Amino acid sequence: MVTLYFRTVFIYIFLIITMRLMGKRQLGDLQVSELIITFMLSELAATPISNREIPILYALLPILLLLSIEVIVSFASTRCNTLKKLLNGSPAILVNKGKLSRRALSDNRMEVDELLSELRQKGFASLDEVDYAILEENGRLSVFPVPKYAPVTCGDMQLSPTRKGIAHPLIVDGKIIERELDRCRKDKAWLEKQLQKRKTQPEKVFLLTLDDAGGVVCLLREDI
Amino acid sequence: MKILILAIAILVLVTGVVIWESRYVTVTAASLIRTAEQMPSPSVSDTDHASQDFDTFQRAYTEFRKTWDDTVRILCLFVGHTETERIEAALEETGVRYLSDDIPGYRSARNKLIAELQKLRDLEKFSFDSFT
Repeated sequence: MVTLYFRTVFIYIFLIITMRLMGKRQLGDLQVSELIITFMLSELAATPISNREIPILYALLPILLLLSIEVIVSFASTRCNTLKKLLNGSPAILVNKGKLSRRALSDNRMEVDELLSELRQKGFASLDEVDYAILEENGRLSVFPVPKYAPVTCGDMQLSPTRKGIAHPLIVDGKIIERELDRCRKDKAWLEKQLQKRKTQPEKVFLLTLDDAGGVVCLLREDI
Repeated sequence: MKILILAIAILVLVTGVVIWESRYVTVTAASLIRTAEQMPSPSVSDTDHASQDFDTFQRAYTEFRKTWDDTVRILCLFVGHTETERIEAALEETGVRYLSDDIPGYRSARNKLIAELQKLRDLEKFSFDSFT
């Protein structure tokens, strides 16, 4: 058990160092420590299940240990920037004000063609269109276009569109969601009226939503 | 903050359990080794072990068996079942060999029993060897 205890801590630190050395591009959406925890948990949980010779505590104890370490480390990293940088790294600016940083590319062991490929996947045909490209801590590339290639916004057109907000589901699969009805400050009488307008009943409705601008969308079961 | 406190509590608890377990296993193994060493160790040529040797063996074997049966269920929670099964097998063999007057076989089984217990004790010690 002592062996297991120390091996768990040792492997955790070892994997963090290894994954940090491997760089951001190996990751995906998870942070380094989260990814390591995911790997270790799946392996630890599987071992005593597949081998009856191994006591169940051999899985429970390291999992609890990892859980506590992860919570403590993530709490500590919110308080200490240095620790956060050490564990998860920091964003790397690959293109800064339209200028490609060869050093940032080389630090992240990224080739120019790889960057161009990533940019193409995000809809940028040329480096000229990019103002900033940032390789985030989770390995994703954030791209900001130079103003002349940026999509036109309502602000640019000096338009003031109505705020629609989000759609609140009031009826789902024939069931009235009263919590959402209260949130929208509507009552059942209002809902009845809406259903009467559409000459239907709640049980015939698959989905009925109301947005913040008062727009109602109703999908009947027979329509889908 | 509540989760952090819980995490620290779990860490303290887990560390406590491991320290207790390490101590429990090493103390139990040391006690079992002492009892096993009390079992007579006749020379290979000594095929006529006297009745006083039998009494000593009987006493030590019974004491070992009792301590082992009392602790094996707890040990099974913390150490691999293969290790406990090896000790159980060595103990069985020691008894069978002694009662069948197979002195070389008995000596070998007794030494194996002690070696397995020493291995168990060393595995659970806080040491560089157990870590690696």
